[in-house]
Amino acid sequence: MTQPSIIARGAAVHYPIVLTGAQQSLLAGLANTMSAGRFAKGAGNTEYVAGVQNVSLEIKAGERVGLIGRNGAGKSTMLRLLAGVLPPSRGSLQVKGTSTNILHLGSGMDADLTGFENIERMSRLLEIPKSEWARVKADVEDFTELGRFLALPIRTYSSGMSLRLGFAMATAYPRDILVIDEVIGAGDMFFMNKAIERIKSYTEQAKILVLATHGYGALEAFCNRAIFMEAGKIRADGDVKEVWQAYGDRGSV
Amino acid sequence: MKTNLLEDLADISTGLKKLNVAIWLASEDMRARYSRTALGPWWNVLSTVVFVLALGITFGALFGQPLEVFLPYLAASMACWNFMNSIVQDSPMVLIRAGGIVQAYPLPLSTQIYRSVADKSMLMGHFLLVYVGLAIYLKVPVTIQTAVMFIPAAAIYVVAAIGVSLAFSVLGARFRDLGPALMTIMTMAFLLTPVFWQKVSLKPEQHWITDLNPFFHLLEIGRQPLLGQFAPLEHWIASIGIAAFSLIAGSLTFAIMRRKIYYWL
Repeated sequence: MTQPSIIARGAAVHYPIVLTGAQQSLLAGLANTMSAGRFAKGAGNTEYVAGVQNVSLEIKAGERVGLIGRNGAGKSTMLRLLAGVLPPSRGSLQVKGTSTNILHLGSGMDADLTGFENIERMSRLLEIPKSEWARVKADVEDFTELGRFLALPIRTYSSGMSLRLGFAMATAYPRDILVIDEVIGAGDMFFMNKAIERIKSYTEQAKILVLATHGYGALEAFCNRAIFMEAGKIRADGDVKEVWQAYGDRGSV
Repeated sequence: MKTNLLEDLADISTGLKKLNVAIWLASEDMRARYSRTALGPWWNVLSTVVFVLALGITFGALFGQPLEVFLPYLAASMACWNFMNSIVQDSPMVLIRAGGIVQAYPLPLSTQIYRSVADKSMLMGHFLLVYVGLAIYLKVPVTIQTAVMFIPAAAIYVVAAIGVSLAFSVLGARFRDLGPALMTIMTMAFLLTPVFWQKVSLKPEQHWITDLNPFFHLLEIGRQPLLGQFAPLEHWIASIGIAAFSLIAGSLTFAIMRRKIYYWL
């Protein structure tokens, strides 16, 4: 069985900046092209902003990577890239192995359905085999400790409760790669302890974890490798303590 | 943007392999859309039935058509037209609506297209159940031989629908005015296509109006089996051609634009 891995070579993500409605208009676009730029000038070349620039890295099985950096450094974009949710505008990204992500709280959840119904819903979206559903449901019930709330619609939940449910679902049926964005911050200390244990056992099976965080606590607890990003580029990559130092030094400049 | 056409086209076939996910999503859409309403999906049927009755009675009188002939004609036409119309008008929104799921789960993008087609097919199925009741009541002369022709017609409809949805879903996500533009076009198409009128009302030199209209050929193969008639071969040939073209052009458009779309949702 091949080991999971993520290999990026010169990968870049260029977001289109939509300033005018004309940039999203087919008719304006046609008018602009056909008139060689005379009409509908707003529909001309779209500007792009590089969320991530020329990134080359390799993540191997057993690595738990923490992404750190200031707001706007490109961490979330990088996570989307590594999670396979955003294809690179330039370069290549090769992901070997199956992947799950917690990038946005509540994706795929239907607020009107109960916790139990959402467990089934997410089981389907995550393509968990039916034979595993009973086990997954028991596991999620046990981990989230949401008790009777699971019989209530999700719209009654607090953000912490939704996080517990989303996190439990994403880690209930282990896949090779797990990508988590800063949403973990919404959890209380009790949850964080449980989450640490769950992730540690998750990655013990030679899987990959990629996590974005601002706190050294989470970084130290979850990760064995850190990557410091700034303005869409990787500034430091390696040992957690050293990279955190680099981040700290940078911040004080 | 680096493109790998084969990989992008593979999304369409992977989506087909995972058709069960698309069908489940479609049934969830139906359930969610109509939860806490009295009639559920039958509201959609009711509005069409009311439309057929209203149009049938007024235009039946205008055209001098006996109701037991005109009403089934109108009902069968509307069943087919509603399917085609809803596919065309809704497809620009398909990927935009599914943005949440697309950005969180590694499901094929084409799953959203199959979901949309499945959803419209289920709605048509609901209407056809009512049509059967109407046909029995008005003693429409449907035979087994003619009715069975509905099956290949439905298959052609689904293929054409998938092609159209593949193209318009990606184009609609990138260009937000496609939806409104199609709404205008389909309103005109409804009047220019013999849905509530018949080709025989045209003079021979005006026949090009219907013959060059792809919706006309598709309508014929769909409604004639419901009325106990065989649609002439030329309509079958044209429909198969339309479905094939739609699937090929749609798949290529989808594959070319697929990677870009993630940035425009």
